[in-house]
This record gives sequence, structure tokens and C-alpha cells, in this order.
Amino acid sequence: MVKTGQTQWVIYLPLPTETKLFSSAMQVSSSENEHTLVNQFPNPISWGYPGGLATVNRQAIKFGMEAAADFHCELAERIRFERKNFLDPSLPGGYQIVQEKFPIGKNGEININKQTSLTVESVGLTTAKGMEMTDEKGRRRFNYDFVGNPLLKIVISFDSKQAIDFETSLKEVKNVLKQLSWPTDSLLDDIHFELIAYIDAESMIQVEIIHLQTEADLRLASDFLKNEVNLILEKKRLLQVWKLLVDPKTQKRSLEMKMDTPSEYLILFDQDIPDIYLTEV
Amino acid sequence: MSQLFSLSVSELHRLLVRREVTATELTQVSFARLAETEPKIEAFLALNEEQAYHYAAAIDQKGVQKEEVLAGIPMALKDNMLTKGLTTTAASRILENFVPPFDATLVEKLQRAKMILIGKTNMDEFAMGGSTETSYFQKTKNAWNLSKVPGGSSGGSAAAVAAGVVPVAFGSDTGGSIRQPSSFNGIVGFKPTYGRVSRFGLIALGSTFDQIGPMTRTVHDNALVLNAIAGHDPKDSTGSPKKVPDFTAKIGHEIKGLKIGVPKEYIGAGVQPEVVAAVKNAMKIFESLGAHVEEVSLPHVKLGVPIYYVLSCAEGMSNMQGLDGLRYGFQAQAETLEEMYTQTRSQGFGEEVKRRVMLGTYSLIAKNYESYFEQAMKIRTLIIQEFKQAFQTVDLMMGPTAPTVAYGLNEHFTDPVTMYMGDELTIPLNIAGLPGMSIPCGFHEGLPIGLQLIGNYFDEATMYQVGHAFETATDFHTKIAPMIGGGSNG
Repeated sequence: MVKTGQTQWVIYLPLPTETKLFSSAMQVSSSENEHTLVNQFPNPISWGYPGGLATVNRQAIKFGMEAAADFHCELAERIRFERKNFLDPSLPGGYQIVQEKFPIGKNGEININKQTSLTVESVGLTTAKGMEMTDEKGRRRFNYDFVGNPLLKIVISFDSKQAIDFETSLKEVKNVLKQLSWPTDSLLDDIHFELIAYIDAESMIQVEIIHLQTEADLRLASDFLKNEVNLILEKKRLLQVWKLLVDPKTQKRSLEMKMDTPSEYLILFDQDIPDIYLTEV
Repeated sequence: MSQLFSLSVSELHRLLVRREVTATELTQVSFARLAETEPKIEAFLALNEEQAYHYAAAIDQKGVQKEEVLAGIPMALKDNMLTKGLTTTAASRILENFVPPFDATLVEKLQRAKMILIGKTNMDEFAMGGSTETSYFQKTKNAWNLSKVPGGSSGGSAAAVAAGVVPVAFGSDTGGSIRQPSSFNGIVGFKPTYGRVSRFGLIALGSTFDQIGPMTRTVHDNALVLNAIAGHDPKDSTGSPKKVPDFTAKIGHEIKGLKIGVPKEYIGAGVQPEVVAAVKNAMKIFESLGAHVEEVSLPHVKLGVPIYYVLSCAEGMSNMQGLDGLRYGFQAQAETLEEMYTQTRSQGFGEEVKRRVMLGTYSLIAKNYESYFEQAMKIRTLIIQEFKQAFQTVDLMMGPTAPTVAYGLNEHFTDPVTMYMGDELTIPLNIAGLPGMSIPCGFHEGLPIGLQLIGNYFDEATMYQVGHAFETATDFHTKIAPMIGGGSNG
């Protein structure tokens, strides 16, 4: 549920399952996939071929349940996967499979220090998109080898006016993740974030900044977000998505508007995946 | 050998076991019939000739065993069922020349049953239509009257069976796409309970409605084929884990004492008088066989068509999302990626697909979701409850399959609403996930009329029992389309 004046800090962590979230194809990790050698692992289901059907990776759900418990969430009895439909070249099926209304866990919290705790709105699962790249001639290219990899999605929310110490907060989030029974040290290198500010619930104005990876990114994005919110309030622009770009040589970071973002996502329950009762997992 | 094309699967099987005919000869008969009829009816989009003879030779080498009831029998598949190495287009330009990298589960099961694939049949584009006229490639004709439509969306499969090219074809049924063309072509078409047959490898239209089923000349043949294709598939999470019974088990049992309900909404306004008369005649036949026929009411089925188009278009929109020209299929030439998307989908999809994608998008936009999609879901629940309640008092139900006999080519093509209403009697079963079967029950002006039997969930065996009893008491199923040697049946 979108709350006016709230900011969501969305954390994505790769899950160490052998196979993808919705197919029996092996998960491809970044170490197996040099950028010069892409699209080496074609899979008709993850690649959105007609006739393919999603089947759920139950191990991923078990990981999600453990994480939800560690973030002190209320565990759901029944979970559902939904299709977030939008045309995006890095998304071969035309939709990402997400958990919006019926995630694994809800209403948790994380203690940042003795005085501060943050609300963990939800813990759920989602699929990874493909990776957009630029070749040596400056042309857009898409690597689909990661499509369908399982990601744990943790949504932390706070008042947009609240000053957040991202350095300490991220350290605490990582501490919780490190205590899980599955190995996460190497996976924590692949953690990434989004910051989303909800400004006006009626008109759904929001600013979303994606592909953040470090505490410094989060600080940069947070400051930027506050300025951008003011600009949007004046101009009343609809959905804005910004993407963090990292110069591979200088590691200099900059934010650019992502142009091919739809004005609205169409959400529909995934017709191929019946609701799952967690007691049966 | 010339009359082999008019025999049933059971009759052909007996001949194969006794080696009075070979699988190669049956394949030859199919391709000979195809060469004769195809210029007139245009039922096929792709042929599998070389592979078919290869399989037939292998079967002949080993011989057909008594228990291999479908071995060596020719069949055709609707062109939305994936066949590894053989084009699968869903009759759309956007999938022109698309060769799937894997087989549908259905295809794997048919291979295990040793059936021989003759070719892929024409259909409405992505199964969106009721006349097979929205196909990008060609318009299939009705085998009983070449100026009429074969129905749809599985019109190619129905016409191929009616024309004697194959004794078995497969269709998919999202809102009536097996039953309505079966009605228009005077054959037996069966939509099993949702979840009975795996959808893996079926190009989806409305995934919570779609179901694959057999189209045959007789009820017994149909049950034999369903035996081979039903069952749980780990690749389809929506499939049922229920044990699959022998669907032929009750065939031949008398139907005395069975309660058959007739929904009063099924024989009311909008149904052609001759169709109503044929159904009423069928009611008398069932009564003469000892069944109790009584009226039931399903008040919300009249909302079936509007809610079906809200829900199935939303699901269809999502299922069409991945067709962007980037990885497979048709790709329009353009300067930028965004322009390529626009041009590929604009040129690659036909008008009906675009119409439904827009309808689906409209109902899923946040401001419309509650008033359209959610309302439709609530009515879907009501319709399901009404059917369940009715099945507490009756064993099965009956009514017409379609409100009319086959209409003229191009007659409704530019009038989508009239076309949509043609499925008003079949759609409620897809909404509820119930099984339905169309069997021939009469003729009007030389065109077949279909009787629809509606079964309770997973009770297909009783439907086959009742359908076979009707066949035994009548001769409608023995009539042959004029183009393949039948006389007037008017």
C-alpha cells in the first residue's frame, strides 16, 4: 500500500538456489558470465518463449521464509506471485514475476541502534531482469543469462523527512542477512537497492532510483531524491525512474533518467502459478 | 483403401493389429485426402510429410500391438501447440517461421502413443476469434458448405476431421474453441476439466481458461484419445494431480436413472429456433433411454460473455507481452529499439489481437482495476457457485453448443460483438473450468447442429457414457460432409 510521504528502501539479494526461480534451468551467476560472452545459457521459459510455463522453486520460498522470520515479519499463510507487465528490452517475457500484495512476510522491523528501528514492510521474492550493456560501438545490448534468477526483496519504509544513517542501517541489514543459514558473504557483493519516494498517493507520483550498490550510492541517491521530489511537486511529472551509472574506469557515479519507463505498471496475478500455502512448502 | 478415411479410430486400430492395413498406408490415405481437399478448405498451415512417413515405417516394422490403441493413427495439431523442429505460428505474422526449441507435453504424449502427426492446422490468430477468419495466413472453409466458416478458433482442426483428412485432431478451448467448430462441422469435440490436460507448450491465450482437447468423429474415439493425453505434468503447476480414470469405462452402460439438467438460459432468446428444436429432440431421446431430464437455472451465465472478455483479454494482454520481435519471430525494421517495438507489434499482430490487448490493458489500469477486473472476478465466482449448486441435483447438463449453425464467410468478420456472442453458450464452462462436449444432434439447411453436454468437475467418463448412448440411438454422427462423398443431410 503506497503511503504519501513515505520512502521505500528496497533491497535485492540474490538467492543461492541451484535453479532459477520459475524454471528448472540452472541459475547463472555473474562469475560464470563474462560480459564479453553473453547469452550463453538460453532457456525457453526464462527467455519468455511462447508455451513455457512457470513452476516455483520451493527452496527459494524456504529461503524467503527464513529471511522474513529474521526480519521479525508476520509470516503469510498464503502467498501469491504477480506479473508486473511492462515492455522493457531487458525483460524477455514482457513481465517480471513479483510479490506485491501477498508476500512471504509483512510488518517486520530492524533495529538500527538503541534509539532507532526501521519498519520492514515486506519480505518476498522476485525475478532478476536481464542486464543492459553497451557494446564497443555504443550500441545497446542485452544479456539475458541472469533473467529469472531468484532475488530476495526486502522493503524497508520510513518517513521521507526522516534523516537516515544509511551506513549504519546497511550494516545492520547485512548483519541480519549474515545470520541466515544459507551462505551470503559472496552474495552480499551482488546486493543492490532502489529508493522510491511516494509523494502523492492519489496521482501516484513517485521517484524511483535504481541500481544502487553501496552506502555512498544510497547517500547520493537520498540527497538527489529529496531535491527531485521538490522538483516534481512543482512540475507534477508522473513516474520518474533514475538509474545510477558507474564509469568503469574512474568509478565515478552519476544519475541519469531512465527514458523507457512506462507511466504505469500493469499488475496481474500470475495465471500459471496457483496461490501457495506456506504450510505446504 | 479409398474408404479408410471414413473409419473410426477403433476400426482402424483393428485393421492395424491384424496387419490388414499399415501405418504407412494410413499416412498415404491422409496425405491423399489432404491433396484432394486442401485446395478447397485450406485447413493446414504446415505439413509434416517426411517425418510422418518416417514414423509410420518405424511403426510398421514393429507392428501394432492390441494395447497400442492409437499407434499408427494419423492426427493433426492446432498450430498453437509447440512442435520441436516444425513451425508453430498461432496463425500470426509475429510468429511466422517460428520453430520451437521444445515439444509441448501433449506432443510428447502423442509420440509415446505412436500417433502420426500429419500437420499443423489453421486457427484464429492466437485463438482470438470464433471463425478462423482472423488467421494471418488463410481462411479455412466449412467442409459441409464451402461458403460457410468452420467456426473457431480450432477451425482448421475441425475441418480436417470433417473432411476425412485425419480421424483425430487437437484443439484448444478458451471460450468454446473446440466445441463451437466441432458443432459447425458435425464432429465430436471435447474440452476436459481445467487442469486435466497439461498446457505446457500450448501458446497461451487466457491461461486460467485454456484447455487442450480431442476432436474426433465418434465419442468412443474421443475417450480413447483423452486417455492418452490426460494426467498430471510437473511442468504445469495448474494441472490436477487427480488420478486419471479410463474414460471409456462407462461407455455402453445404460443411462437409465441419470438426471440431466437443461439450463433454461441455454434455450432462450438468441438461439436459432431450429437449434432449439434439435436440442428438444435430444431431450426426448434421452428420456426414451430412461434418463430424467429437468430444467435448471444458472442466472449469472448471461454475464459470461462480458466478464470473459474482461478477464481473458487481461490475461491475453500479459501473454502477448513477450512478443516483441527481439529474440524470435517477425521483426520490423526500424531505426531505434522503441520504434522497432512499435512497428513489430503494429505490423505483426492482426486487428483482433490488438483489440483484445487494448481491452486487457484498459481493465488492468489502476483506476479501472476495481470496477472491471475485480468485478469480473467476483461474477466468475458466482457462476462457479451456480454450477456447483446445480450439480448437487443433476448428474450432467445439456444444451446447444452454439446459438446458430455455421454462418457465411465474412458475415460477422467486421462485427466483433456478434462474433463474441456466438460463444455465449460455451464460455460459461471455461469460466467455471468445467468439461464440455459437443456432439452432432441434427441439421439445418445441410449444416450440422451441435448438442453440448456439460459435465461435473473431473466426471468426463459420465459425459462419454451419455454421449455414446445418444450416438447409439441416433445416426447424426454417421453423416458425412458432401465434399467427401456424403449426400444431403438437410
